[in-house]
Amino acid sequence: MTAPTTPAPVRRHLGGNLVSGAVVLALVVLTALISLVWTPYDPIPVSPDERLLGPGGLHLLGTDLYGRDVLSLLMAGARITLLVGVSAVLVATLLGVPVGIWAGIRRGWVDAVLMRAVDVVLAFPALLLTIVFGAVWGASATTAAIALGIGAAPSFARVSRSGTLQVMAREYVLAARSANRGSWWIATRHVLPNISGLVIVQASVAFAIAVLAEAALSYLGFGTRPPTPSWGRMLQEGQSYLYDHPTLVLFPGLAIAVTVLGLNLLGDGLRDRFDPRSEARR
Amino acid sequence: MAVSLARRLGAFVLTALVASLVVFLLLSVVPGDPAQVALGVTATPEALAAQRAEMGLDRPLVAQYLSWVGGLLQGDFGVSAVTGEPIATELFTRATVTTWLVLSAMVLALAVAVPLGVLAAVRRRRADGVLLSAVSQLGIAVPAFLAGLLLITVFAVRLGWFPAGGWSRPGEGLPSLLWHLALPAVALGLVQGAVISRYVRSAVLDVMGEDFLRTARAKGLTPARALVRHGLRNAAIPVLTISGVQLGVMLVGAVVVERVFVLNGLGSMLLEKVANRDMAAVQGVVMVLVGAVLLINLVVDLLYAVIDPRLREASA
Repeated sequence: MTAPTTPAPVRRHLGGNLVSGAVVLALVVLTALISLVWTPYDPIPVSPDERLLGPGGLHLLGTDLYGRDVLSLLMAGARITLLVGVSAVLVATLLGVPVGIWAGIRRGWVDAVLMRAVDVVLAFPALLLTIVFGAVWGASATTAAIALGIGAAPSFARVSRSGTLQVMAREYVLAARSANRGSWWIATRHVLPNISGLVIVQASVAFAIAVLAEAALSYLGFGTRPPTPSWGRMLQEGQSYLYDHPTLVLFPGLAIAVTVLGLNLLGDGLRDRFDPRSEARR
Repeated sequence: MAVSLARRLGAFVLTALVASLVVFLLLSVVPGDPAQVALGVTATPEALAAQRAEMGLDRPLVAQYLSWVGGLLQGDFGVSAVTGEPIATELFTRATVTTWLVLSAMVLALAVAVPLGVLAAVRRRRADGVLLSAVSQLGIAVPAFLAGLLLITVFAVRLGWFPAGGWSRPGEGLPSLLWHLALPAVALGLVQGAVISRYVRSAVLDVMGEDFLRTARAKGLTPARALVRHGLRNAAIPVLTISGVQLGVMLVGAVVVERVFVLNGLGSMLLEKVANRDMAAVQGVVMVLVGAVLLINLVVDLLYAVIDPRLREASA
């Protein structure tokens, strides 16, 4: 039933990067999940007589300029970060991987046309694409996720294509071809299982980039709309209070940095595991 | 060499043309009538029709596209529906600011990344090499605009050494320009420097495993001299690639950094025009940014051949 895969990799100890990255990501996911059922305070309504309270006391991390509890905002903000990040990666995978596999299997002019199209998309950096999409269809989390996904798709297409080219040169693919197996059969039974490791590595890289981009977009007002809490907008709102209340910028900034750090570590760890060219073999 | 040069230029022109079509189509489907934007909501239907004819909006889409691209090739980006000024003039002024910002950030990034990356590779088994790797990992996780906010907090708000934002006035000379540029360039450059340093590290590690380096050592060169004389040139190719990619990233990252530091560059122009629904101007800015990204890729491609003679032979 299952396709012949490459021999199982020599068992190495679980990389420190992989574990610490996974732990950080799990914490962020857990925070987002908890925020669905419980936050210390409701992060949406404003309470004018509790504005700009410092950290400590009843509000552990203080309150913002509208009197909302910063800890609750941070917890709820994790949701939009993950939601936009995961959706963008999904869009990029669904667009990029089939294109890459198709180009790698068909070769010839199909390959040339598809890869030229990938070059064109590559000329539009994801952030720019999102701003343009926001101008055309209105800024929202959905627009951001789709635009970031399209922006990230070229790298998925390129990775899948080069992986496919390698798989297509294997003997079992030649055997399948001489047995008159169609391209679809080869793509789903042989290519996809064998390039999934590369795609997973790419997904973790794209996830980190999407989280950074989502923060930047929310900061610019091109992400999710108020009052949905988001880390990027917390930064934007806190910017006017840098002197008296630097924690309003510090806490969401820390949340973004720690999340991205975790995703990058996870990506490095996955690359060590899945990518044969990784420097961990040294 | 000539053939591959021609092929690359051809690919560049083709990609740029398709990209221009995408930009044009994307921003032509925008809901809202540019003539309405120009005249305001009180305009009569007759005045609107006349305005549409004057702006060429009554022509077929193909004709509109062709005249737009034709204009672009002559440096004519059309006229803003909001201000009535030629878009090219504003683009040029704004591009100067962004160019200063991005290039100084790139210089800064490379000045930090190359020495640190080499050091992190050479001393990878020692505490300082490991520490350098860890610091660069941290640096990657901090977005440029966050770095900007932190720099403002410390060096502008607390210490007052640098302005929290704004650009030098004309005629104030280079010192004032650099003084205004310092914090935004550091914000944009340091983060990218962290990214590039990781590629430098891994490129140098790759080279250090090569036979020719062992040969050079066997000839009696010290490890340091062997690396400088033979290694760095070979490590340059992946570093060049990532620098080109990061230059494009910085160009777009500048959009956010300009907002943080209230700089009147292309990025803030883009955001202002989007807010004003001035779509002709948005088209212009997007096209300039996309064109710049494509141009950077082309230059990087051509530089490969200059650095590595093997690639010259292979692609000819």
